[in-house]
Amino acid sequence: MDLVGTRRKRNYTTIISNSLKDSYPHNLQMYSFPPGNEIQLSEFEELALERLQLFRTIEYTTQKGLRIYSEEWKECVYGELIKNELKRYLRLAKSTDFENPSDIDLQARRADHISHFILRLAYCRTESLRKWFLARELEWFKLRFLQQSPKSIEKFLKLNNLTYTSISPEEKAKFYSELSDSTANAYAVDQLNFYKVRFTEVPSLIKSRRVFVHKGYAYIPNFELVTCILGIFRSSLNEALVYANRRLPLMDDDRINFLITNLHNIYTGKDYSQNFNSGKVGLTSLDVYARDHFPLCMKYVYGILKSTHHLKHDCRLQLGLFLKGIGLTYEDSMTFWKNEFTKKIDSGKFDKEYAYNIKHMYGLVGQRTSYSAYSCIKIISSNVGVGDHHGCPYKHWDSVILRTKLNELGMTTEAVEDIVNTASKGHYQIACCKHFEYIHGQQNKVAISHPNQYFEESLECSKENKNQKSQDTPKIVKKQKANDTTLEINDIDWNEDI
Amino acid sequence: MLKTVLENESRQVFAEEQFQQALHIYYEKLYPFKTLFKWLSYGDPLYILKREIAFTTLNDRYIRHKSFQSEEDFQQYIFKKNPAKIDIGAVCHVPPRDYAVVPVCRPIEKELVFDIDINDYNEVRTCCKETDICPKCWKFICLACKILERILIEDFGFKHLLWVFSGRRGVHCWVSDKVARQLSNEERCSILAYINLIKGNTNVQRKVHLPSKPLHSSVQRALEIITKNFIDFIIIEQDILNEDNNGLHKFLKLLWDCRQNEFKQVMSKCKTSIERWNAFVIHLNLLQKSNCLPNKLKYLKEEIMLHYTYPRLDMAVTQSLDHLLKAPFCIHAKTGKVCIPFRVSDMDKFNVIQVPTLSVVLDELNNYYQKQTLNNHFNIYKSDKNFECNHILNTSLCDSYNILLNFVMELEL
Ligand code: SF4
Ligand SMILES: [Zn+2]
Repeated sequence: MDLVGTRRKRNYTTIISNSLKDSYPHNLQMYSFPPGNEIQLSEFEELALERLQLFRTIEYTTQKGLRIYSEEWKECVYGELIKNELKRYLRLAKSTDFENPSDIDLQARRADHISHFILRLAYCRTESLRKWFLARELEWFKLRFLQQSPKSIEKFLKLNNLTYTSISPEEKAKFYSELSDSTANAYAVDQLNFYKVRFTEVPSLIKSRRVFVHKGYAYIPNFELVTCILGIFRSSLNEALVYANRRLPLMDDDRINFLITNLHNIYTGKDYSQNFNSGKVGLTSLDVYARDHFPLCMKYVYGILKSTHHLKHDCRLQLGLFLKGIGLTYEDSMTFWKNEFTKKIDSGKFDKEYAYNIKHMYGLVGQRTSYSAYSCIKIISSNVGVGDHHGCPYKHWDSVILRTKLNELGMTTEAVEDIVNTASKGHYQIACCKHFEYIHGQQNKVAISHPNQYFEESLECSKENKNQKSQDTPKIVKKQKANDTTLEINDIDWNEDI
Repeated sequence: MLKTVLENESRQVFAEEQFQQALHIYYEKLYPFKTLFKWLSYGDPLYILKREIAFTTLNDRYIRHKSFQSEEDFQQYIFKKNPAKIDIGAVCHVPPRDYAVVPVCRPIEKELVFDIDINDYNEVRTCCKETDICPKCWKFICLACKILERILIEDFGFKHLLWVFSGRRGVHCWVSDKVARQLSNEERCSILAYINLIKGNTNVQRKVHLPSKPLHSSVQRALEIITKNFIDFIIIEQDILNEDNNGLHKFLKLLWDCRQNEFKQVMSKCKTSIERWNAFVIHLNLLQKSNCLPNKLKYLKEEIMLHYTYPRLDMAVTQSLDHLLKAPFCIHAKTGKVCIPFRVSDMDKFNVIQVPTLSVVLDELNNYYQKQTLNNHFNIYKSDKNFECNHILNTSLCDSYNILLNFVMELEL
């Protein structure tokens, strides 16, 4: 990409910068058009890092176990935003209305807009980056959407050409009892407007059985409209990311390339898909590790494998990828599974039916992707069926059983009660964290978000017994404003046509 | 050859090489390639070309990533390989047979499939254990199918459902509407979560927990269907509250969070399952009326009824586009039974013990030939073009074949 003066002209829609007020009529945006103004490289960087920090904050707050979008959660996000001096985002996060924006409001909208597009470039490059980015964008969008006044929402829909027509009074009368029984949180059906949308547009409402579904249509009440809008936002952004990824090779400005290729490294923690640790853990130490350092979900499954010499598919994946993540090599892994399984079946059968599976985990066959170990969120939200053992104990077990198992592990009654209580309130990861603390006898204050993280922290703890580290939100180190070359943002291949 | 094989087998079970030969004849004379192929291509030759078909050979090798251009190709391949099992996979973005060249083969579309297996009912059935199945516990499957079918049709508006007996102890359902085929993994999961009420693994006692608000209309409908059968089937026939079969003990475990001991006393006073159930209901009503129970136990009775009877689905099969599923009309390797399509509306008449086996249908075929030969010197080795229709209609697979045919016709390809 060229710098000012020599750049090629491209013909796409540009937002004229004359009036920020015209460009940004609303706090909420669908980011349908790329930004069109000039921007300093230093600002470019700053904006990118700020948005990252915003997203990290949101993610971190959720990982702490607070229920997302709850008041507590929001307060916590606000607090972190203040602490990290993200004033513009704090403003946006708290806004409820679009009218009479101050100059600061408009600057915030602009920053939101431009930084979104920068991160799009940085995060379009791999499936897992896209996924992470998409999830955060959606959370950021929803957080603000939920705050808006009815009038503000109306305006937003109009600005973005989104129209929904409500069902006729006759249809409403016909399904009156179904609507009132099946619509979650609907206290007065008479006062609600219902919209009919294809069930595929609102998977999250279908999933939680929150709406009436009939002949392929979901009947959604006005207060669930956000789900539809989010669905649209998600699919257009998803498409835009795939598109941006294809255009990426066309970018040839080294400074920008450097920033966007390194952005996620500045930031994202480990993804446990590569075995960085490969070879660190040997077969002989596995039993001891399982006893001392595995989180409950893995400890339990490991025990089942050792006693029954068999695990079902999902269970194998949960444990297998975890083991890979803590550093079991492919060869050791094969030996390990084979040893266990062949206590019950002959080795020919193992080779035929299960070996492929192990190879698969290490990305040696099939789509040849290297699979990441499951995160807590993934394990917690997995479907567990009858006769299954995988899943998160704090979520998927009855309290009685959880209590028994914790007792068997030799925990004090008080500890057991505390953990069981926390779990039954739905704070699964916090329960897990408490378990950790009771075992290691220290206030670790770290949120457990990944079984492999649990493992590593646990190992740390036992290594440097007293020398405990306190961990806060990872700080993003802002770079110095080095080269203040003017850079036109038009030069970057924004994905113009969403 | 046909003759020698068939003469030898008045027995139900074949010796190994006889099984091989019999299977070959079955594929050659009876297997409905044409209809199957028509279904899987949905009127588009490219669609089937990109469809993954997998095979298990008789010596237990698994061959994946096959795909076929034409019905003849498909047929010839099967004649040559004589596979023990044919599996149907997803439609991929490139023909899977180019797998060697294009290492990534991404699944794009597939029917929405469901798998219900009697194994998952082990904790609630009392008549059989492990992999056994009898007409009594088959009723669990019937009930599950009825509930599932109504959800798929009435709630999701699907029209093209093919139900197939899986050969031993369960059923498969193929939802083939275009919308269903195009569902993403995430959408499949959301449908599954909508349908599924049975939650929790081996470490959960009562596997159904309903929120204490009004019941969702789909759950209400399931309960209506269940209520019609619950007393006769679950309480009386399965005798779930009997002490001898450990039923009462298991039942009381379900009440771990609700005055277990109190109920134990009340129920142990009665003798039969039906008396015990009534005692349970009466006592529960009493407690509920006098506000003795927390709100989350508002639907305890319903939860228990659902625990015993609501469809227990194999999640993994439905969840992902990647999962392969056995094709209809395959022969189950262990039971020799044909995986026949059926209608849920006729399911009460479906006798799981009497599903035609490979040897039975070949017998029937043989009898038919003999008659033909006597009558008009019909040469059985002469290959006729429409072999599939002609022959299968003269066996007990006729009805099942017509079901498949109808299903494919209704797709209006
Ligand atoms: S919270 Fe995470 S690490 Fe802990 S048991 Fe659950 S899934 Fe495992
Ligand atoms: Zn039985």
